[in-house]
Amino acid sequence: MSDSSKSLPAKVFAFLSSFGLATSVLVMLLVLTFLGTLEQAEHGLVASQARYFESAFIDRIDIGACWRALAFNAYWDIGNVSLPLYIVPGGYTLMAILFVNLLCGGIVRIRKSPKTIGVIISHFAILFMIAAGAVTHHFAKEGNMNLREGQTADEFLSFHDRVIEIEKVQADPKAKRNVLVIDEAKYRDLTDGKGRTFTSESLPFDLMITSWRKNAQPKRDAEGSRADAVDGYFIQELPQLDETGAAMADEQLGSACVAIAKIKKGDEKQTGILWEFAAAPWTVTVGEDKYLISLVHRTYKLPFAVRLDQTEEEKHPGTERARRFSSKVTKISGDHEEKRYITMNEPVRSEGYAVFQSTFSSGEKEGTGVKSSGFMIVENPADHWPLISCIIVAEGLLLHFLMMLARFIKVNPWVFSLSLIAAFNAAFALAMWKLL
Amino acid sequence: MRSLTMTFLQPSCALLACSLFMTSCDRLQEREAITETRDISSHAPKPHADIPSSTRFYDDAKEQPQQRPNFRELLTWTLPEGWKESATPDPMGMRLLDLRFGPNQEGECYISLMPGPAGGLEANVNRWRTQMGQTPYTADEIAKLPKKPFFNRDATFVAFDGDFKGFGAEAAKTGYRMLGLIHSADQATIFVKLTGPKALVDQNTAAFDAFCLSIKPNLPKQE
Repeated sequence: MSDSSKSLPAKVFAFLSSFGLATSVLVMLLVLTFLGTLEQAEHGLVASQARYFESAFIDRIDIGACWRALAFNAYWDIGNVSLPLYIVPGGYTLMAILFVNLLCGGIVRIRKSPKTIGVIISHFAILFMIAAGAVTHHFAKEGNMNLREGQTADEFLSFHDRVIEIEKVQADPKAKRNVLVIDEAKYRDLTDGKGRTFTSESLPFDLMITSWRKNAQPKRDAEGSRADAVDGYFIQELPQLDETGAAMADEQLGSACVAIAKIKKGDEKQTGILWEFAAAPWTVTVGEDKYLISLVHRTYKLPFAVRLDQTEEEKHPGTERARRFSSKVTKISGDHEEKRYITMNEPVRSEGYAVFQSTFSSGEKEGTGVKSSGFMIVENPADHWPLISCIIVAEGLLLHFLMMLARFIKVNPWVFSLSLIAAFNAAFALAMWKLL
Repeated sequence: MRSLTMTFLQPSCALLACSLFMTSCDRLQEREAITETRDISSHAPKPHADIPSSTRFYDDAKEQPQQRPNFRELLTWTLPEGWKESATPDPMGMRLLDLRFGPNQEGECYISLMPGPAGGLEANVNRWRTQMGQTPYTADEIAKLPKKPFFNRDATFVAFDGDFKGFGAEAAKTGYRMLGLIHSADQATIFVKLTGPKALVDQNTAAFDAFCLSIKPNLPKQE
């Protein structure tokens, strides 16, 4: 049947399942990976990931940064050249197209026969891996929790997501506490000259956020000459590159903004600076009530509490180099307490969360003398999916190659392939059992 | 042709100018309701209100570098008989007053001060229990700990027996007893901690109580 005689749905299906589309998407993914890796040198891992791999469309390509990452500026410095784009699909869109393409072409359209069964299994596993990426992107949470010896916590802080939190100070110290939360996505566009007012019926004031900076530090207005000074301080923007010109890690950047509380009854305004690394929240006083406003990393709740009982640092013999950090903790769920041991690469896994030992402090640097541990906490519903899909891909390709080999040497392909796969799997399982 | 251009150009320019003006106005007029809330854990530390900007932005030290108070000028105390100050400074530099007692000076008692709640009462009591090889207390057990007068207020008193392994020690010392007082205020937490062989500590328990009661603010004398 010629192309012109096909119905429209058939044409669409043919396009979505075509090799041409698959090739185009894979080439574009290759280009995105190349550009994202180059830009990462100046913009940092998190920003590059967000722009190239997590976005539906790429807003711009920093040609200058890519140029410098390739060291071409040694021959010709093109300066800061940026290509504003909104039509190039980002990693998210391309992966979605690849998923549809593989589903249509690699599962539905592919000829079903013993010859292709291994390939179909592998295609299915790749679809599973793309799905794992989507689940991780949408539902995974990552953060850290720092505990001093004897301290208990059941919350952890996101590595990269920031929020503004507003808490009313409760007169009763045993009262249940809660906060209003404003996500960073709602105020990170509010640079100079832009402002947005956030409202809530439970608050006696409206909160305007303005003058947001990605990396900044409050500085004392020593001469009292600055018009933008708030309570004797102004927000000084800091570079996002370190001394070597490399992008600073996202966790090292301290965002700041100006907050204006407009009291609903009357014309009074109270103005303060919110800073991510501030030692304490900014206080707004309305009558007898006080409200604490802070710019912090997003807090996630754990379904259990962790108490750090003891933490130790083991050093390489005769050196000051750390060999291993380990922690004895108690996992507390209601009235039930359970002793657990966490060390590097041996996390505690429970209720969908994995708690990894990430840092250790002897307390000497802080001058407290109290040892503490930093734990990385990951909640990812698709935690093991990539491993499972890799194993299935390997099994599928192995089946395919063995069946082709069986035909070549003229033996029964099913008996030959399946017996060899069973032998390979048994050997692999034995090796893993011995290794682990 | 010219008139046609002008006919369309002028309104277009006016429309563009208006839209730019309205856009710039909207930049400060946008309003959005806060829809997200979060419950705070009972384990989360309570933040402090009315902290000045200089403290919030770690600018205190730069503000008054010469006016840091001397601990010995702030407090007075009476040393119990047989107690004396340690000849060597503690390696961490955390002890404001470091005392020794006992025939071989194996008994230790020191005062330390930390800013703010210093991790909270629960964390500090359980840190001491861990040092004595004891299991941590629950929040209820900590709430039931006895109080003793200290600085005209009630401070939490603890007494633990066990094997003591202090900070940086290679091995635990067996058969030890620890006495401690923790007084926490918004601005600072003060600790008085005594450790030593159980028999020696038992002999000095009354001296510890008397020493804690003797610690007072060094107020200027009234003329």
